[in-house]
Amino acid sequence: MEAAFLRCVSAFDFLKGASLPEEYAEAAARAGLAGFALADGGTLAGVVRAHLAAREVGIRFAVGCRLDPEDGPSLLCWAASREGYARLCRTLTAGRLRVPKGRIRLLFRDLPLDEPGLLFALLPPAVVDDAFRARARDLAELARGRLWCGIERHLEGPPEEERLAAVAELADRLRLPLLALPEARLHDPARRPLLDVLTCIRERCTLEEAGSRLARNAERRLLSPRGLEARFSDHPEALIQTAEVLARCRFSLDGLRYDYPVEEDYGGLTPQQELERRVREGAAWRWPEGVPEKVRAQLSHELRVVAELGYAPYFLTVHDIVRFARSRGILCQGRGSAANSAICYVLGITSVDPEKSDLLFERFVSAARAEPPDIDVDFEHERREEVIRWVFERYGREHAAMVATVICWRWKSALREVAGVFGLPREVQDALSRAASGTGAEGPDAATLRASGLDPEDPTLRRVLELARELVGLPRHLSQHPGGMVISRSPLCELVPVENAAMPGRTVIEWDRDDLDALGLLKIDLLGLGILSCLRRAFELLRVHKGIDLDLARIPPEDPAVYGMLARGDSIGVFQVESRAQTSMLPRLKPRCFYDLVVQVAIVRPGPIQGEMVHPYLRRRCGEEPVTFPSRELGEILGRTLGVPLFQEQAMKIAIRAAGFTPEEAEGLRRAMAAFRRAGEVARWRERFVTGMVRRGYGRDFAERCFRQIEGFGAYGFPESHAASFALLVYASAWVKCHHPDVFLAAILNSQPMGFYAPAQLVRDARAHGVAVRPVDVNASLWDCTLEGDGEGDANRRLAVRLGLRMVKGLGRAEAERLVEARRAGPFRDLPELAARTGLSRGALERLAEADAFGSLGLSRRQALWQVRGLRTTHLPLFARVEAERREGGGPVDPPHPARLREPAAGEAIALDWESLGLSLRGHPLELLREDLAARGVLTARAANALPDGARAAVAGLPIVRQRPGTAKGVVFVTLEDETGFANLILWPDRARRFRHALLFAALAVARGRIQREGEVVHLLVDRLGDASHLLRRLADRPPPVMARDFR
Amino acid sequence: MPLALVDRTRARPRVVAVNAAARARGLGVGADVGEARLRVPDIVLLPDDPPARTRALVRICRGLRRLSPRVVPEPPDGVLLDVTGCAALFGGEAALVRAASDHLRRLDVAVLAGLGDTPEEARLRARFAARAPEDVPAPALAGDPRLVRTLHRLGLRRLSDLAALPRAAVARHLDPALARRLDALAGRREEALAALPEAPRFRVHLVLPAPLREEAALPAVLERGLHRLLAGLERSGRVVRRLRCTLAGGGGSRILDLEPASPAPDASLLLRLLLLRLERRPPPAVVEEVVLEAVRHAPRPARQRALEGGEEEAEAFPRLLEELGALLGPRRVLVFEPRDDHRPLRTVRVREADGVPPAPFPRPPAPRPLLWLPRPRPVEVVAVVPDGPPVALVEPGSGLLRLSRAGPVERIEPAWWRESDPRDVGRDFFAVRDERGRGLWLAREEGPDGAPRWFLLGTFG
Repeated sequence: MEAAFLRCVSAFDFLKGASLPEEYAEAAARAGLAGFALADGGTLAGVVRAHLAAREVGIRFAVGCRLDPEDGPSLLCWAASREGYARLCRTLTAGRLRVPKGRIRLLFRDLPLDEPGLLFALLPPAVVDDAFRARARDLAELARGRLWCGIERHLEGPPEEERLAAVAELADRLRLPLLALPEARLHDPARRPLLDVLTCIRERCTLEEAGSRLARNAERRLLSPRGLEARFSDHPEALIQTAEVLARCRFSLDGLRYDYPVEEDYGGLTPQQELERRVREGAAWRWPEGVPEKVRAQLSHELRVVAELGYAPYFLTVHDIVRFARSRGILCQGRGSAANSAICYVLGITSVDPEKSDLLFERFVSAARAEPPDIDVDFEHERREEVIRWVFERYGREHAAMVATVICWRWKSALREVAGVFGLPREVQDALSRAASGTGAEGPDAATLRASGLDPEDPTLRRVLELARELVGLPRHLSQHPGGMVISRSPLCELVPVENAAMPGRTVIEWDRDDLDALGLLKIDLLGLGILSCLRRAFELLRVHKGIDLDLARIPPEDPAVYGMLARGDSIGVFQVESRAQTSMLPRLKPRCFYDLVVQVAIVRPGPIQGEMVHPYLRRRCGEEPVTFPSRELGEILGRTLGVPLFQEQAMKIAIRAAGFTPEEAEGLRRAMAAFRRAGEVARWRERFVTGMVRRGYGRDFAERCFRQIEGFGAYGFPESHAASFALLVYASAWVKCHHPDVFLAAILNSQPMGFYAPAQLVRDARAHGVAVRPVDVNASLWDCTLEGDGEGDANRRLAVRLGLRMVKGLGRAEAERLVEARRAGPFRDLPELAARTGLSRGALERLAEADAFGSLGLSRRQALWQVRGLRTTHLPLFARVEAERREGGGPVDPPHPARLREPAAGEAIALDWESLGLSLRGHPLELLREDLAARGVLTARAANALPDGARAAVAGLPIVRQRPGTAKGVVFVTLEDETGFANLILWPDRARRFRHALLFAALAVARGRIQREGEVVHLLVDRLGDASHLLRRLADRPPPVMARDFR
Repeated sequence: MPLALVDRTRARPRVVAVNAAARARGLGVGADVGEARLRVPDIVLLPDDPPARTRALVRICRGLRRLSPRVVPEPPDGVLLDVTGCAALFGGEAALVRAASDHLRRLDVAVLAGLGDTPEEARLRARFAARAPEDVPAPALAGDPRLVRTLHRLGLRRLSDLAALPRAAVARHLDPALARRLDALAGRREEALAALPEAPRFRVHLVLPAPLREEAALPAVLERGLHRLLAGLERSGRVVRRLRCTLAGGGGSRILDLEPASPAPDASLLLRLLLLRLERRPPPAVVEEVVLEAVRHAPRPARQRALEGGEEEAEAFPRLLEELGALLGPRRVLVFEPRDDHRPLRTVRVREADGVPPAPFPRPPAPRPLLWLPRPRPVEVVAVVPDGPPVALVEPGSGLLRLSRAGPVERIEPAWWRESDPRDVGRDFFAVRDERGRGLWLAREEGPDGAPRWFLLGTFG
């Protein structure tokens, strides 16, 4: 018989449901139900997932939720029509906007009972009393024909039966049909332990303390039609009604597809006309001498598609945003598949020149794909907020909101909470939390647990791990996506419930990017990119200090000096290509032209490496392998990349041309590749692909290899357009670094935090390139780093970089500005004068003294600190007057006591520099230890990097980077820095475990092992790793801070 | 076994003390908990308890009073003795120091000792015995971590560096407290030592003018003594928690220890309890002395006075318990209390009676048997379908006893996180009525072979 289960509480009703919407869908299908619905409290956060899953398994899904008014009985509500759905969203939005983020407050009068497109069911209360009966009567009047009386049975004994009888009696009296509504908190009884754990987390108690708050039995779960029959054998009509409700719910989320984007009046023109007008203007701006034929053809093709699909308003919206940013001098650039569009180029949204590249518009917008394109725009990371604020102002909160992101439980928090629920002591919770650091998707293994002092065989611990595993991946709460926004034509609150964000004035929708993608709703990603801030600053500095006027579009292209620099691996600070993996790839790839950079950006990523694309490409590029194509058609697609598929567009084209996929299927394949949370989907396409290729005459082996390569795209395959957009930024930053390393350093320091390296490495690198760097000084520094000198004396016309006050740890911006302001009246001559004129606090003065910033006053670090501490803190007016008079006479009154202080040793000074600035201009700590180290057989990084493959060597240095990439199966990469440069270490998992302590805690590490050399790329395979921090301590007499940054 | 104490009052718990075993493994004071466990995975961490430590120091001070009249505790881990003029009594300064150290070692306490002309000097010598005085690190005098950092920054490493600075400069540029400590060290300043708190004793000793030979006269004497004792306690704002009554006479003595559960027992209660006790174990035939001592006492707890009175009633239950306890012995009076749990057998808890009346039992979620069998009795049941309700009971010897359903099944799953209790059986519970009109409570669960097992748990009425 047809039956539906209409009351599934999913994990999106946080801490109440223990199963995911997808799990309900699959279980419902398996059980043979006709359909299901979610009953999450006051939210529709999970409905998109449920809808998609239902579609996949082939059952129906009714959109709805539970409404819990404060002053009335709870109801279930389902959308029968689009209008009903809109009304439901409005109601939920109203309930959420009146309270802070994450909460909802509904009153009986808020309920949209008069909406013809909504169906309701009364949920049986704990006690059927007169208040309930009265409300039921009201409801029956207001919603007759659309209201049912729900009955439930969870094998809870006589009271349940009494309630059911009372409800049935009431329903009979009010002539309301009964509806079988058993609740499901689990899709499977085996989830009951997790449900109890969630209850304890919610109630903040242990399992022992929870008592009757836990689940009495596992009967609150999905039932099959047979199970429902057995459960409600005495009320068969209530079961029949479930099918009736399901049938009446004709609304599907697919019906939301066409409700976008913003339409405005453009001075009498339609959006399409306006778009064409802007395109004409933009093309003239890009090609003042006339638009090339290739581009003209591309533009008309694109405009035709856009007109057909009605996407013009979308492009106009994005263009408006970009125009606003440009008007404020905010650097921005589009990324992703949007760079495949000539329209975007002429509108200035993206920067990939269609004349020079082969764009695949279909990757961006496709008639086969009835969904709007995805335009992501990068802005300067510091000014992104301005743009977001403008969007809210321009479109209003009715039409614009941030997109949510679902924060799921992770191992660390899951283990800690579950351990707490079991009543395990704090120490054990801490130990578990630690064991979870850096763990992969499988959680901590036995060895890691033992290393944290835990016994993996302990049965309670095993239980904790099991339950934590179930918990990981469940949604924990909704948070705001930093830059994703949704803009709609119809009021947003009729599309999806909206709630308050944590930031005042901002609102967030309940769905995340994947949900919006799946439904084809318009969203824009306003991202922040540090390099854009850096470039903007660089352009300003060039203008001000060197009279050079440039912007992103006007940087001289294809400069061999720039490619030469990159080919040497000299790329610290350069966007995207400065990481350890990248710098080891650059000398092998030896980029010589722009397209080489595009490839570089795309291939040094886990996806291509896993997909076995990188090595074949390199071999062919270095001439070690002939460039061959298995067929002519593949040769056309893969020519530019030497026969190796590297880009998403290529994978799509191969699927279409070589495996006979239709564009829709190619789309599906690409989506499966992009949706990395459902990695198993790609495998489903394997059979189709391989058969397709074989049918067209390719060998099965080859076809399977091809597919394997495509599978590698699953994690991080790039669209070529995206790589091209990034490659522009790579080139731009490399150009600045190559020709104006002084400007580059100042700009990148002022844009911190960003990038891969800390200021210490950036400064060291700049100095190695001949840039003079001057220390922080109270008489010369501004807040930002600045350029000094006229450069005439320097052969390369290089200016010196003066470190700014922002480098001083613990000095606030306000205080720094006060110093600079006070200095306008003239330089400071001595410390008491500075203190009096600036009015800075003692703390600020001490920070400056510790940073050795009083050099221009003739004070060493110690003397300055001593004097600062001797300053009188009270300012009595009489003293001030006497002071002023005395000063005119010369010399400060009430002088601080002189003291003979020992000046620090070289090593100490360096260490103190590091503590205060994070870097030192005096030298590298390792310089002072070099003799000592050399005596122990330790080489400099430069010397070690010159050794042949297989040689044994020992190096020492400060760990600046630690990486355990997810794809590398526990292998750890470490970069050590000494006074000559970097040494790259590789630790296999057993070594990483054995030397875990040194890995995590050593501020100075010594590594012994064997050199692994591949051409220019050198690594040290570590046999032994030691902690030599005590040597540093001897320099400075105290434990040094650990400087390393950690990366995935 | 490596052991460390952890200060958990801060956001990042830190180690504040380590024992020798932990120190040998490289763990030092100030490390945070994560690091501690990493270095010494089998370390045992206990929370620091500053009041307990201070109390321990006070006890140590009392023990050392035989060496000097002025002994003061110096938390967190020190004790200071003013031995001016005492040395001669013990054979010299070195001998005195040895005596103190030996005494403490016998108590199993690890000791560092130092002697000096001023308290400050003694403190430093104790901690830095091995070094020459000039080499004592400057941070030892600083205390405040920020000051330590400043000293380090200024390159002032050792005591000699500090001593070389003009005193006014130290006060102004560094810290006035530091300057004072330097003064104290050099003897330029007198340091006042705190006094050791005396432990109060509450004791009443009655020497009877004429020996008591009749038991009947004893209560009056005891009453008098109790009143005096309690009055003394009252004056100090304290109440007795443990009373020792000693009755001595004729060469024999009887000692009675009472530990009333009532938080603030009064004289009449104590008297009654004493008398009850004496009924079971009579006093000596002749009583010449009575000593009543509060061997354990506590601050008087705050008493909420009910607005309408009714205290008498509130007191009635605790009094009853006291008397029963006194009669039957401690820990022999138990009360039933409700426990919040789904499993029917676990809804009742038994605990020792203290002054608190047991909470009332809430209404059970469904009817529960009036009489519970002491152990679930396995029975054979006939059911139409294996997972259906019971239809008849198989009575050994009498054949089938037909059953009629009195209510719907209750399914209550056992707790999955607990060890299974063999007495806590059943998953589906049925209230049924048999032909004779008896109400029975049956439980069914799945046996190890998958077939259903039935039990009788109790009867209704």
